[in-house]
Amino acid sequence: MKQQQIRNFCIIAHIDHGKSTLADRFLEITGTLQSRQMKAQVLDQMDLERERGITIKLTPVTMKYRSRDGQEYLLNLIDTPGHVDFSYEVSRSLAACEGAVLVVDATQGVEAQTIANTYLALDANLEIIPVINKIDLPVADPARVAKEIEEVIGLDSENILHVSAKDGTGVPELLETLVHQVPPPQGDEDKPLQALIFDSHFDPYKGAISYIRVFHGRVRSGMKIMMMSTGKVYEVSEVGVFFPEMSQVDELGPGEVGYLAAGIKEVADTRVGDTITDGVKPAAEPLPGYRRVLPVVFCGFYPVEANDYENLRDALGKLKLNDASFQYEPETSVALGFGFRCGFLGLLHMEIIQERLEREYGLELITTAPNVVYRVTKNNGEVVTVDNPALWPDLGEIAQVEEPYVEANVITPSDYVGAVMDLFHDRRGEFQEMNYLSPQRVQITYLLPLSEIIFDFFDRLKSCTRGYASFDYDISGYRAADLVKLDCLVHGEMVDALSMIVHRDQAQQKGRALVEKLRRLIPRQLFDVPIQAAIGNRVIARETVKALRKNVLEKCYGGDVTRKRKLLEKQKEGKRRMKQVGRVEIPQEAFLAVLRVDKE
Amino acid sequence: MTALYLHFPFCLQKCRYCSFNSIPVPEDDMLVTGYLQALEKEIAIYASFYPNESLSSIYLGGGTPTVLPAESLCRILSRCKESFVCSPEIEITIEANPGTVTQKMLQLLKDAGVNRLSLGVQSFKSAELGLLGRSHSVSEVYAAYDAARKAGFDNINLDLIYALPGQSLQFWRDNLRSAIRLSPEHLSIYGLSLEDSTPLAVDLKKGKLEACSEEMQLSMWEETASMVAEAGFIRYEFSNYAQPGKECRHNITYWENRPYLGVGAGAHGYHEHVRYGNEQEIQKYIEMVEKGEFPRAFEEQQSPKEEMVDTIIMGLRLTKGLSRPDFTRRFGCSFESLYEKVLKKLVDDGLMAISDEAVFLTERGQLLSNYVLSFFV
Repeated sequence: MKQQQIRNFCIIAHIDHGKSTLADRFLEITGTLQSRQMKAQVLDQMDLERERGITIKLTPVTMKYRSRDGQEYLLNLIDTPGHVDFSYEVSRSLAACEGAVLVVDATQGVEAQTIANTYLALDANLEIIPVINKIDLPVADPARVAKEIEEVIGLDSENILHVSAKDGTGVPELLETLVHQVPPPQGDEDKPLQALIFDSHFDPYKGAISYIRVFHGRVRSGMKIMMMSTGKVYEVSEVGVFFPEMSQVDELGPGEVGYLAAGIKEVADTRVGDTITDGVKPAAEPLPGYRRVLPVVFCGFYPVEANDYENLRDALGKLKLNDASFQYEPETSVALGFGFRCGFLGLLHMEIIQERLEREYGLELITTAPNVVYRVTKNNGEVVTVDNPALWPDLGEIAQVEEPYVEANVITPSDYVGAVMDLFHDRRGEFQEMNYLSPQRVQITYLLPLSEIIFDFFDRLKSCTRGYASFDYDISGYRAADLVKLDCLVHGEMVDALSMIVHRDQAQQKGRALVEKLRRLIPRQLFDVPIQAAIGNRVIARETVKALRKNVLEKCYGGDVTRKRKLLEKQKEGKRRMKQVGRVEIPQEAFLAVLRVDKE
Repeated sequence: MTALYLHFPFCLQKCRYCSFNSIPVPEDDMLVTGYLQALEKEIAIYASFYPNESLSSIYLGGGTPTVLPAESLCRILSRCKESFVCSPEIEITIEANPGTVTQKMLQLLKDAGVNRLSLGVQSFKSAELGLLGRSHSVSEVYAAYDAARKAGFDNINLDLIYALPGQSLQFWRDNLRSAIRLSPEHLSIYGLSLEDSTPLAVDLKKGKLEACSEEMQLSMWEETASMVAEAGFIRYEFSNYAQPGKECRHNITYWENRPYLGVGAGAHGYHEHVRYGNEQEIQKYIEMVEKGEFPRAFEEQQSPKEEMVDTIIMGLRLTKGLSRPDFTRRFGCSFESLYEKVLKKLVDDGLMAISDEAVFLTERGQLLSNYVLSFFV
């Protein structure tokens, strides 16, 4: 197909604003799927995503569309993940498109995530088609929402389309607008191949599959290709398009979107943002914008059962095949034994991996509290990065500590401005600016440490705004901070997995909260168990779990032995799920207690 | 040899701490009559299957068996005696609420062969009886005890409960002293433990009452041990004390994990390697028996492993512990070879001990028996 007939676009939408439903309508109208084949929201693949109602990413799809002027077009819908953890992937997906459909819910209005992604799209010079969705709902207020789009994003409200993805109203007009407003690709088929990898997945038979957008040149099976970031060369075994299932084609030319298989062993070798070029006649330059994404949040995964270690390693290996952005390496904890230190793009990413390990691989895990990556300058001038509190240098060696900061944006109904600002102040936030998007809605920007948002921030934000606020952030670099390592000693033994990095001003309060929490979580043992919080050698808080002296089922219920056995079995099961540290048995919940020390 | 338990799920009123299968004795006489007929029939069903079963003990428990007429109870008892072979030394116990017995009634029961009486005293203080929701008074306790002695009962147990909300150590001592002064042959002394749904548990949860602290419970238990020992009682199980030779044989059957038949609504049994629990709901129970079937809500075939676990967790409740030769005879290998590591740990921790004849819990181990026993399940 000639480039003139190709339209590459994505959909930008906040969670629940109707992206998947709209995509489904496109498939239906273009006949890509017969409606009887349609499941609700066909493109969402992961159960997990469906359960959480977050669209992480839709599968790309190619649709044939005959427009009202009688021309046939190929529409390539490339999706963007809907969560801040994956903002680099968003930027690469956008780079593969010429246009974006911006979907805003007529009952909700513009959200923080939408703004962030729209700005990314504008940076990438995409043609933006604003759409107000859900106009069928009785509470829809398209006029107000149109005004917000005009104010916040600067798009003329005259040009905003009103649709209902649910009942199909306005969707045919949207498709027409799309083919007429989104510019066609402008590739040169005679130049050496340049194809952008915007996603990938692992196929057990074909290896890592790259999802690509060809910019210049052509790619066909049998051809030698090279990954420009690594210089690795492969032979293409198959190219194809998403219809929406993977369908093999002879070749992909300029402007086309599809997939490529080349016997690549793992997705880490087909990195999002990398450029694929001709292995024999390579392009001089890669496409702009490639960077290696680095994990920003780390935690430890340990099997509850020590002999599940190998299974955990296998499972991590399998997940890694499909997810290059997540890292893991073996680590050993005095308290928890053998496990893995894992790095993630953010908290959601961490939870997804954790849940997949538990659900798909049936593993029982102890997860240690997540932390960010600190930069510590030692007295001798050496700079080390620390992604595990257990590896924090000795107090005496540290000259300076820096921690990652983010610029956080919150959009909230104006009634909750006070609550949101209080939350930021609790989290060491520094006020940047505040804009009224409308008399009812405010955008607030703060600078704050990443460590302050990796746990529980979003839940707190939701609860203090009754679920109305939206939130987005951007890593803004490292800043010096007065941080110390808070250790926890249980019965005189340091429990490495309970160490945490805290601001010195908060150390006292967090130490106190931690020991109190642990006193309640650690079951009574046969002896008194002191619990101490310490900075270096200095104990700053102490509690004692009193020895258990009486634990007996006095009455035997009229020969009901089964009942007694069950009670003891329950007690035994509880014991099995605990970790022995020194002489003390510590339950799993205790290892997450460090997270919740500021809750009360 | 088998023990037989008969359940009578009726009481004058439900006590505020009770979670057993019992209901206030119904106005409707039909239900009681129907129930008694069903009991007879269930006994007959067992007799038809096991005509040569010999009984070492019979226990009439509840509920409160003595809310029913003595004649009815005697009739059930004679059915049992006709249906099974009774050992000459058979122990026949009846539980009684002190407010429900007269000397005449006790005489009838004694004449029918009942030779052990278990009186649900619980406390010798009116305020505590009120707190527990008991239907009898302190003076009724003394009256019932005297009547029982006059009727010829020479083996009487008193049930007492300690660790009541707000109870002081002094009050508990008073209770215990009152009980000892009566010179019963046996004392069952339980710390109050509450199921969540009971009215007393609800009051505690709502903060209307303050639960007895663990330190206080311990002091009371220790005080109990020394006071009753001084009076010549031997603690042969965690909560049970007897004058020498007056241990309750029926309960020892449970603790030694030997077979017993349970008859009546909600009764539990363990017979021919099957554990079962009868239907609790009285009307349903009656209907099932009338159809001629075992009125069971569940039954579980016990594997040798399960029988072994039960033998351990029940046997270690006894002060003398688990007989090593008996264990080896019953399960084909020795206790210490099966649990070498655990046993060593528990002995090192001062929770268990071992002699030539037996393995047993130390006093500390008994107080922590849930912890200790969980190693064996």
